[in-house]
Amino acid sequence: MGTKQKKESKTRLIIQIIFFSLVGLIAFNHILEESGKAIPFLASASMHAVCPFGGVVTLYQFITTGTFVQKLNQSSIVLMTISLFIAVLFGPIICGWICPLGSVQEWIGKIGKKVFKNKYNNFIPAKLDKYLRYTRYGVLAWVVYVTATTGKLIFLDVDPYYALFNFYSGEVAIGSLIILAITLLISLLIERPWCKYACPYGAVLGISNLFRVFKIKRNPSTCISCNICDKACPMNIEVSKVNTVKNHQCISCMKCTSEAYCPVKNTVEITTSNKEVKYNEN
Amino acid sequence: MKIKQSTMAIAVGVILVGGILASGSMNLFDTSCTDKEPAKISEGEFQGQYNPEEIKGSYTFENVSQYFEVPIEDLTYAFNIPQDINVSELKNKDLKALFEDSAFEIGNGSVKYFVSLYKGLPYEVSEDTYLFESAVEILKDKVNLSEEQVKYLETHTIKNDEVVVSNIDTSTEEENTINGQSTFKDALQLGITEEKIEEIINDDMPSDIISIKDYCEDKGLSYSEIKGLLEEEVNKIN
Repeated sequence: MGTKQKKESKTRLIIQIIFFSLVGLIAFNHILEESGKAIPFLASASMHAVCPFGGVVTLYQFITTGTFVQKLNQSSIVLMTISLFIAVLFGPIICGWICPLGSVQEWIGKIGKKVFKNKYNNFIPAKLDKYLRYTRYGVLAWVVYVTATTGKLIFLDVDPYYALFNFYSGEVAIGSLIILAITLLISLLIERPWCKYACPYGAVLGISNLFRVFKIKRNPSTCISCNICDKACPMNIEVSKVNTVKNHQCISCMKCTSEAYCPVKNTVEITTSNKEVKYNEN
Repeated sequence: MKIKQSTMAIAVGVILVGGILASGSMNLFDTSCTDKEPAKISEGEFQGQYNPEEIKGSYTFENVSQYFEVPIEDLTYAFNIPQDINVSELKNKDLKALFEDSAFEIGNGSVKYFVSLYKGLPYEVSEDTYLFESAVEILKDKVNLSEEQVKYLETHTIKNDEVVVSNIDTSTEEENTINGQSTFKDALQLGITEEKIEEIINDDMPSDIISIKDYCEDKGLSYSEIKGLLEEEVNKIN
């Protein structure tokens, strides 16, 4: 059994940068397209068309009337379906590896980590935090309800994701800009505050942690209880206290695994197997 | 079964790209905006009216006509659109390509300016915005232009016959017909109005994603007859 201080691989960072740039370029190209000057060979769809959460909010209208909520189209439903399929397999990897808003919060959080050291990401008392983590389900219920009853993207007025890539377009509601600014500011204190407390799409994908095919499992027989996995987790999940991570907040960033921060080989892994867990749990 | 992060990343990429490509090949990955409602003027004398500044390049002449109540015939005449072009599908941004040989640009800005003058709505025109003489003719005929506006137009008018119309691909032969896969949305996009469709099918407009053929079979209608009537409408438009 080899133990060594490790860091997460660059693969995730590269993927985050790629998707951040891609979404940013698509948003920019859409604005250019409106004036007839789009960049060739680059998609110029609107941000709404390439947002899988659009599929969630338009689902009710699509099922009941066969039509889409204002500004949305089939692509949102397709992306939602693909994302859910991926989540069933690997958990909310969309949140941990792809979502640009998640990435930017994480990047800003690196500054906070340097400034506040161990206090960073631990400002809210655990007892209170435990309950606050469910507020995003309230946000989800509200968004789905108001969209279903109005047929409009009411969430757009407070959506920091849209604001992040369109703040310069003059088309962003002031509410979205304020929420974005607050989110980025709080990111200096808490890692991924939007994801933890408010993201309605994270709420949907988070449920997949309860039944995902490829689970994050800890092998208690090789675990040295160093708690590095707990410290590495951006969502404050205590990986060291469970054998299988089923927390609805897990974003599948895989920082806790033996491929990243866990210093012991083959101890925290992504696997379909239940075998070892059963043995150790008995 | 264990999986490495790199394998997982590749699998996610394959599922994501494969899913998009597969749905695209089945014409299911439509990213076009289903809503072309421009924002309204938020304050002042014209509060509550659609703002010409908000007209996008992706709006079709039909969208502009619908929201600003400018007859599509006036838009067609004003912008010197050749008869062989499906006007209802023509997007404002297509104008730039259509008149690419023009010494002065005719594009979305021209549509915004024309609509603002036509409707008497406020709009800050930029110095490089030009209109065809046919547009000016309509404006002088239908609108009381201010002295300042007339003065601006005198120096920003392009003669219709000075511009060579380029070939642009706004529609294809195949798109201009109703076939077994055509949906009601396709029929609308071909320029047939909802009212006309309702008249032809003798019922309320169903969901626009429903295939016309499937609808006819469900309702016991003759698909070939409905297809023929819809195509007649398309031919009238073109």
